[in-house]
Order: sequence, then C-alpha cells, then structure tokens
Amino acid sequence: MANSLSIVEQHPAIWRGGNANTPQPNRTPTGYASLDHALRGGIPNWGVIRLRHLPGTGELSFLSALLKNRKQTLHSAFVNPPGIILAPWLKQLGVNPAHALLINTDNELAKWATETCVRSSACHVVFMWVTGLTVKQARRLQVAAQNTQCQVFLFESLTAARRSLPVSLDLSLQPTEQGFSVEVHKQLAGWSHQQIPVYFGYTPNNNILAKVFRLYASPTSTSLNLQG
Amino acid sequence: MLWLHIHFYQLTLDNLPKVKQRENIVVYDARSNSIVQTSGTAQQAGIEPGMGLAQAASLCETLQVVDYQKQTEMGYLHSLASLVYQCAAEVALSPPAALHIRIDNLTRYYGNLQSVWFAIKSVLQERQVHFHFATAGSPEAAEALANAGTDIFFIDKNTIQKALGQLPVSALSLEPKSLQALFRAGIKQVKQLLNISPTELGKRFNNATLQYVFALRGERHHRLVFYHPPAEFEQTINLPYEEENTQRLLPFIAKTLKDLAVFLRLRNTGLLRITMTLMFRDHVPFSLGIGKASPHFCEHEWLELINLKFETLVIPAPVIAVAVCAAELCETSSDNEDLFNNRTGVFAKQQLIGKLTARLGESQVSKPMWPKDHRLHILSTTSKNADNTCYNDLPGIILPEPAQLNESPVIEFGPVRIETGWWDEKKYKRDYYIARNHRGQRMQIFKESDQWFINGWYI
Repeated sequence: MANSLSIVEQHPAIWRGGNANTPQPNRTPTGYASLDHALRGGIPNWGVIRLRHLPGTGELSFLSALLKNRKQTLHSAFVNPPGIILAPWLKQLGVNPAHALLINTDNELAKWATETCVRSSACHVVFMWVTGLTVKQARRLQVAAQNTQCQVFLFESLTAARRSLPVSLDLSLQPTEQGFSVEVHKQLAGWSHQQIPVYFGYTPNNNILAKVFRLYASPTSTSLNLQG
Repeated sequence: MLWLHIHFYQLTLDNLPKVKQRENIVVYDARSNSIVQTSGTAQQAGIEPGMGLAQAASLCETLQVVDYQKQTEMGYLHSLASLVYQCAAEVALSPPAALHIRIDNLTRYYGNLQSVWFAIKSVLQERQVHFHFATAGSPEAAEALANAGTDIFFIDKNTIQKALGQLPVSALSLEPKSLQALFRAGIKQVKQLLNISPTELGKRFNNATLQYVFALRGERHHRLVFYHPPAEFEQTINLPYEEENTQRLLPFIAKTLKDLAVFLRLRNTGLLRITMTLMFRDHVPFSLGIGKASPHFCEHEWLELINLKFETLVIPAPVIAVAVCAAELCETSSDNEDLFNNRTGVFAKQQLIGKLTARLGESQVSKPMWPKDHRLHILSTTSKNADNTCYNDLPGIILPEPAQLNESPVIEFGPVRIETGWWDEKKYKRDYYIARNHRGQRMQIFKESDQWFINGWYI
C-alpha cells in the first residue's frame, strides 16, 4: 500500500518546510553533541541568534568552540557589553583582541551601531546587549546579516518577557549545576526543542582541593566549608 | 616676456549660490559709498558700478544688497590663485581682484601659447567665475588692457602695441593728479604717451609716473612677489544667509572639500583630521574635530562623516560662517600595501571605525585593553608585557566600580591573593573568590574592610 502522504507530497503546490526555497545557512557545531543534534548541525553561520540567559552563567564562554573555529581576519564587535572586557580574556575565548571592537553607547544608538557593523562587511560576528528590539529592527538585522554573511548574537535576559522575533535561532539558556538546560524556542527550518542538557564548566573550581581534603583530613577536624 | 592679466570683476557675486546669481543683486562698498559689482539682471535694469545706492534703488525695486568685504574677497582671490597655480608657475596676486600670470616660460611645458591659455581658461571656467583678460609684454600693460575689457589673447608684439596704443589714458592706473596733468598736456591716448621721450616726461611728471611708463613700455623689470601656496589649509565659508539647519551647510562644505582635495594632492599628503568652526552672530564660535582612520582622502567619505557628525549636533544659534581647517596631515606611503591582498577588508574596517566614531564619539568606540599588572584596572593598549601573563580566574565582564554584594553566594574557587602595587601609592592586597549564587550566576568577589564586593561576572 502506498504511503497516503506520498500522494499529497507529489502535488506541486505542496512542499515540506525543510525543502523550502529560502537559502539555508551552513552550520558550525557548538561542540556539545546534544545541542548540535537538536540544531541540525550547529549554530547557523549567518543571521541573528538570540540567547536568552541570566548574566554571568557562561553565555559567551559556551560559544568558545564556535569562535575558535572562525577565520580571524575580520572584526568581532561587542556592542554595549555589561562591563569592561579585557584583552586577555578575549584571547582565552578565541577572539583576537586586535580584531575586536568595543562599543558603548545608549540603547537606541547601540542598535544603529550594530546595523552599521553588520552592513560594513568588516565584521564576521557581532555581540549585542540591547533591550527592546522590535520586530522591524530584528528583521532589518536579519536581512543585513544575510547579505554580509555575519553572525549577530543578541543577548537578552531570561527575566524579560519573550517577544517573538524573526531571527534564525532563538535559544533560552537556563543555568543548571552542570551547565545549561537549553530550550530551542524556534529555529529556521527546524523544530523547537525543550530541555537539552549541555554539560560544560568554564571557571576553575576547588574540586581537587576538596578531594584532597576529603582523602587526608580526619573526619573530626573542622571542614573548610568548601563546596563544589 | 609675455604676461597674462586676469581681472575678476565679480568675485563676491560669483561665490554666492547659483540660485541667487540670477536675481538682482549688487555689491555695495560702504567705504566708497558706491556699488562695485552688479549681477547680470541688475545690469539689465540699468545699474552700473559707481552708482550710489539711492540711484540704484530708484532704478530697481527688488534690489538685494550684499556688503563688500575686503577680507572675503582676498580669500576668494587666494583660492583662485591656488587653482591657477596648478597650471602656471609664476602667479602674482594683484589686489583687489586680479592675477598676473607669466606665460612665456610655460610654452616649454605646454607646447605652444594656445595650449597654455586653454589650460588656464578651463581651470577657471570650471569655477564659473567671470573675468576680463589680456596679454601684453609687461604686467602693467596687460593690466591696463584687461581693465579696459579687452578679452583677447594677444601673441604678437605688434598687435599688443597697437591695442595698447589705442587705449585712452584714463585706462591706465595712474594717480588722478598725473592724469589731469596729461589731459592738460593734450595727451589723450596711450600711443601719444608712449611716444614721448623719457627725459621730457621726467621734466613734467613725478617719479612714480615715470616708472609706470617705463613698465608699460616693458623696459622695467617687474617687481612682483609670486604666489606661494600656503603650508596650511584654512578656508572660511561665509554663508549668504543665516542657516539653522546644519544639513544645509553640506553643499558649501562640499565645495571646500574639493579645494582641500587639490591642496592634498599637490603636497602628496593624507588627511587624518579636520577642524570645523561654526560661527554665530552673537555666540562664541563652536569648534568640532572630525577624524578618520585612513589618511587616504576621499571626498564623499569625508562628507558622509561630516554629515554623521552634524546629525547629532545641536547648535545654539543660526550659523553665519563656517571655517574649515586641515588639522592633522600625514605622509601617505602606499608602497607597502599589497594591492590585491585583503584590500576590501582593510578599507571596510577603517571605514567602519570612522563611521562609528563620527556618530557616537571617539570615547565610545575602543579596542580591548591589556592590564599592566594584576590590579586589572590599570590598563594599556599594547600587550608588550601582558601577553604571557596567565590569568586563571579572569572574569569576562569587569565592573567599572566594584558593586556591593547583597546576597550570599556559594564560593566555588579561591582564594586567590593579589598583593601588589607596592611601588606606587595604590597598594593592593585582596583575596578574590569565584562565587555562584542560587540562580547559577558566577561572579568574582572580594572582601574589603568587612564588606563583600563584586568585581566582575563570568560570562
């Protein structure tokens, strides 16, 4: 018996979402297998990617594998970061500090600055921390990013109300003990996913010390109150 | 020797915007209390230079009057001289509104005299200025012919003599007393003047007249000081009307940028910075500087930068004049850049930085800095010593001022004791910890005088 859906598929006016005519970006793997599987290969190479997160939970560090693989001749722009970013940290992240631009201005001009950076074709990735991005502005950025093959990472707080935007990828990073629990709200030509666990550690901790103490300290001596 | 004299009889009017030039405008000199320049339509109404203001007003009702300012006219003359300097080597200014140009030594370069004239004429026509011209064997003779409105490019000596001879004596630049004396002596035409022997002239007229006649004959070597282009570029644009909207200043500035392009090309320098001063009627003049990352001069790029700067500019009063000064020049060395490799990338990056600094301000756009030592807030732009320093626990975001810690996070890593700065006054002894709060956010904290502070966040 023929698959009943195959007859429907043969109709010229019917097409599947994955086979649409819109140009699909190539994807770069993030390095976390569970996430890459859900994202059909990884983060798209161009377009606006929104990361809803809580500040200070490792939102930029987890993109480190992605940034290390990119070619380094073009600029990386950081628009309105929440504080001062130092060059040695960027180097550890995988971004050449000589090719990084830090821009600090008010919210509305920050949106103009991002668009200028994207359109200039001098940047291959732009990280923006702006609030209140409207649908129209997001669409403009998406089109500009497509034209110049630029990745734009929009950082938004998890506590802000989620407004649906026309972006290539919409992720929420919920912090957990071992890393993140990622929710893919939507992605271009792909399904949404819930609660993808991502295990990663990006800061040093005292685990080794704790292990040593547990091994050699007597049970009666006062513990040093270290956790982790 | 062959000299070309160009008399610009309408300098102020030529520098007004084109729209205005079609109306009835006259230029009035307050000192001589007469009209010195008239536009074409005003002339049709019957107004001539030399008339008084009342007479002109009675001839034409819709007359517009512009003040004659010597300074501005000299400025225009200088810019015209630098323009002609591109074609001819020996250019001398003849105030108030004329140029002497020596052309017989240019034939080697151009080939023949006609080409010389063609080159100078095309350069002036591009500027769309009105002028009378004439050639002669000496500057004074050429001046006399041009002032009479000859407008013929003579090459032959005899033709020049004939034309000069036919001029009335009043066309010469002599003192009125000497002119009177000549009339009384019955000398009406220059021909007669040139025929008198010097000794006879010397008996009746003063030394100045004598010297002038010698110069006319071509027997006296000229004593002109030739024009040298200035080392600095500074041009003031006097607006014909007060302008409130900064965007409408751009066409005037575009004209100045063209002159600046010529200035830079002649000296083979690049421009890094422009200083623009906006002048108001009652307020203090306001200066602003606009810098560009690449020294290569491109007119429309500069205009775009100025446009971006003006967009966020708020002026206290309408602008009456704009002064443009080239502040920072630098050598252009284009021989060490590979023509094909990464060319678009380099220009695009410099353009981007230029655009961002023009709109946002120079302090808002920066490159990440390297900490000079472990104190993290003393930063430098180069990584000479800091390249190899390993920061194990550097937070991604460092707060400009440490914030107070108001919750109780759990310590994950630490302490890392930084004790440094004993060589200057800012001695330092802090224990840094990495702490995680209940929401999962990681921050760098330290304790100082019994208070906990947050130094940065680990993004």
